[in-house]
Amino acid sequence: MANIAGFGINHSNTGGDFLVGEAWLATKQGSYMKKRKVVLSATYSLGQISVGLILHPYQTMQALVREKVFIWMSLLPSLVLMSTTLLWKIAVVPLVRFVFSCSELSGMVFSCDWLDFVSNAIAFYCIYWQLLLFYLLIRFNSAYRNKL
Amino acid sequence: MKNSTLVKNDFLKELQKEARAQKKLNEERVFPEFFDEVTSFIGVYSWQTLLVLALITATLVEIF
Repeated sequence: MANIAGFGINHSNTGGDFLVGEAWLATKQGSYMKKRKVVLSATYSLGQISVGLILHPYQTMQALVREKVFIWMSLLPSLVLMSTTLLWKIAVVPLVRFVFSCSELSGMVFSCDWLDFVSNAIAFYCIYWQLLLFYLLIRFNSAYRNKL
Repeated sequence: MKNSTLVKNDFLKELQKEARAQKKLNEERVFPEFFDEVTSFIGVYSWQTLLVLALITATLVEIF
């Protein structure tokens, strides 16, 4: 009597029961595989759209507005800015201050003085990126609404 | 053979439709013609332009 890890399949049963058990297992595995595929596919799509919005915002936004899918992804720069700010405050700044002695290193190439500059640069990048995406969103929305 | 010709015709029709849409989109002017070169440059080199602008702004913020 063999019990396959928690699935309760009794291999000593008759062939019919075994087949039912196998079918149930296959269904269970099938649904797991399906879920896995959906998650992988969604992750892949979100990744592709994110990369597209960074490298080719014009074409990507046009495709998003035309297909009317993942339009919320136009808020990606704001999400990136929020998560970067959190990560920056929680991890990066304390780590840099812990690793380097800021007072000793000020004036060197990699000193704590650069923290403000880098954080400002990231923030401005995200703000400009968001403005660009909003502009493209409005532009393509109005164009496709007027039956392009 | 007939089927492949049909597919080819459908593809060409789709292509023509897309070309018309892109042409119309290009004709709908938001900024004046003067900015055409700047906007197409930003369109081609988007992330690079944004990065340079962000670095310049951050530098200005640091200076002033």
